[in-house]
Amino acid sequence: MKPARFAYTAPDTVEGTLDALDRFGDEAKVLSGGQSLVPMMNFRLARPEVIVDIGRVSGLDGMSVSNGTLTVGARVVHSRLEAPTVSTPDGRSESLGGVLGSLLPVVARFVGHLPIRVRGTFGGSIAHADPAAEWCILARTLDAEMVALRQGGERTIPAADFFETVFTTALAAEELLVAVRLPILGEDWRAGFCEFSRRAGDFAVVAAMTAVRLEPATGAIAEARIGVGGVAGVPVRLPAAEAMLVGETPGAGLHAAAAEAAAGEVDPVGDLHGSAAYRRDLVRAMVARSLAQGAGASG
Amino acid sequence: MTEISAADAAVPVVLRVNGDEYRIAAEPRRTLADALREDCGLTGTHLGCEHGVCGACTVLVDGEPVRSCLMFAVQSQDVEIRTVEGLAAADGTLHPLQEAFWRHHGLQCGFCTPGFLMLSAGILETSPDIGDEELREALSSNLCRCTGYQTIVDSVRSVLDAGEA
Ligand SMILES: Cc1cc2nc3c(=O)[nH]c(=O)nc-3n(C[C@H](O)[C@H](O)[C@H](O)COP(=O)(O)OP(=O)(O)OC[C@H]3O[C@@H](n4cnc5c(N)ncnc54)[C@H](O)[C@@H]3O)c2cc1C
Ligand code: FES
Ligand code: FES
Repeated sequence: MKPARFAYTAPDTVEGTLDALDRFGDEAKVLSGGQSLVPMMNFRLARPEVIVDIGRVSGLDGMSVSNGTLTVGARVVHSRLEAPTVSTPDGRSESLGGVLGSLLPVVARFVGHLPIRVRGTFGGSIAHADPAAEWCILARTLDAEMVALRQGGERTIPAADFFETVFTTALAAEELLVAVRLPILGEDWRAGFCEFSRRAGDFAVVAAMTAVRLEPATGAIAEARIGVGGVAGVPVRLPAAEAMLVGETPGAGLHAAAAEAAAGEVDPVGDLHGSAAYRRDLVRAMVARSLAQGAGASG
Repeated sequence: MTEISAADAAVPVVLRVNGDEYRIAAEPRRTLADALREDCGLTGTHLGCEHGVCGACTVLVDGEPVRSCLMFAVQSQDVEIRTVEGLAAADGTLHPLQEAFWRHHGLQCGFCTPGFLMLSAGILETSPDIGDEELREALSSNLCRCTGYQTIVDSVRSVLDAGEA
């Protein structure tokens, strides 16, 4: 179908964007890569009166590291995270190394297809808040911080408070998401990501991300994070399964036990893509595989 | 205050397609796909689903394959657009990809073909060294109801192997 009529503005500065959002409030929608919003407009599930296109705004597509934090600009497209580079203080560009640097490309390849990834943006995915979206799962698992601007103010929203329910976030209509901050994960971290979808490029039925920090002296797990998408209205963390890992040494037996706990901890609702029981089975399998992937083993 | 285009008025839009300039008037809600077909008369770009799933509408924007049903014409002004009409040479000589789709039976009804050709042209130009697995994954972006895909993979592979980019 075709979208309903809308008025259109394409400011070239952040200030201009905040002006427009302030002026039009609920009537306006930010248009970034358009890979989620335009399908919804074409279906007329979304009928914004005013579109504020941020495609011309400069300064929103940078990536940089400082104090152990990677800041990803809201307009960074998915395909750039397949081979992430950061700008250094002296203005050069270098590839992002480390554990996060290896994890982002693994995750990026699951986001839609090539033509979706060259237009769709990291910030758009976070703001859209699909409960099975890879970047939302990553943000929740790593306790990302979302940086939001509105006219005359900035605030930082932790992932735990940001995702409210399906397609709903803590962002106000007047707010623009400008960047997301992620911990770069030091060399003592082990991270993995696994997802199941019916066809390559589809949204996940269930996806899991795991990250554990190892005690350098003993190799025991000092800190554990398990995040799962596709089982609730928002990506969820699984504290009971996480707690089982802490203090233990990574290994197949431990991973299986934590995956079992994870399957018991979720409370999925069945839909046409998979029954509740099937999703629970997928959680078990995805968590186990993700932990094994992080530990450097296969399967 | 940044300029705002009213919802019900057509605004002047300049599109650069296959090296030609098209000066059209389009409401903000006009998608690039519809502008190409209705306003530029370039009906080679097909529309299947109009929500980003089928890839029939794939065109190149600044060399990258994108869904033209998910862009508005007003957003497409400072970019180079290439459509299937731009593939063959001016004298009608087919592009190597078109030759290959013909030779390897990469099409049957042909509805999906412009999208697959432009997707493949993008792959050919940006990733000429793409491996078999990655090629299959990249081509899985688009849907075809006829061929079963293998002949499409064969077509693109033959051009990549011949290094005819
Ligand atoms: C065929 C297909 C398959 C896909 N598969 C996947 C998949 O497997 N996984 C996945 O995660 N996604 C998938 N997507 C969606 C894709 O990742 C989108 O790019 C993403 O969800 C939204 O990013 P965008 O830049 O396109 O945002 P838009 O579509 O432009 O916007 C989405 C929403 O976010 C808001 N918004 C955008 N940017 C901002 C901002 N900076 N501040 C405030 N609000 C903002 C908009 O107002 C809108 O409500 C798929 C899309 C298609 C068409
Ligand atoms: S018509 Fe654009 S993807 Fe189907
Ligand atoms: S040839 Fe008929 S849809 Fe592909």
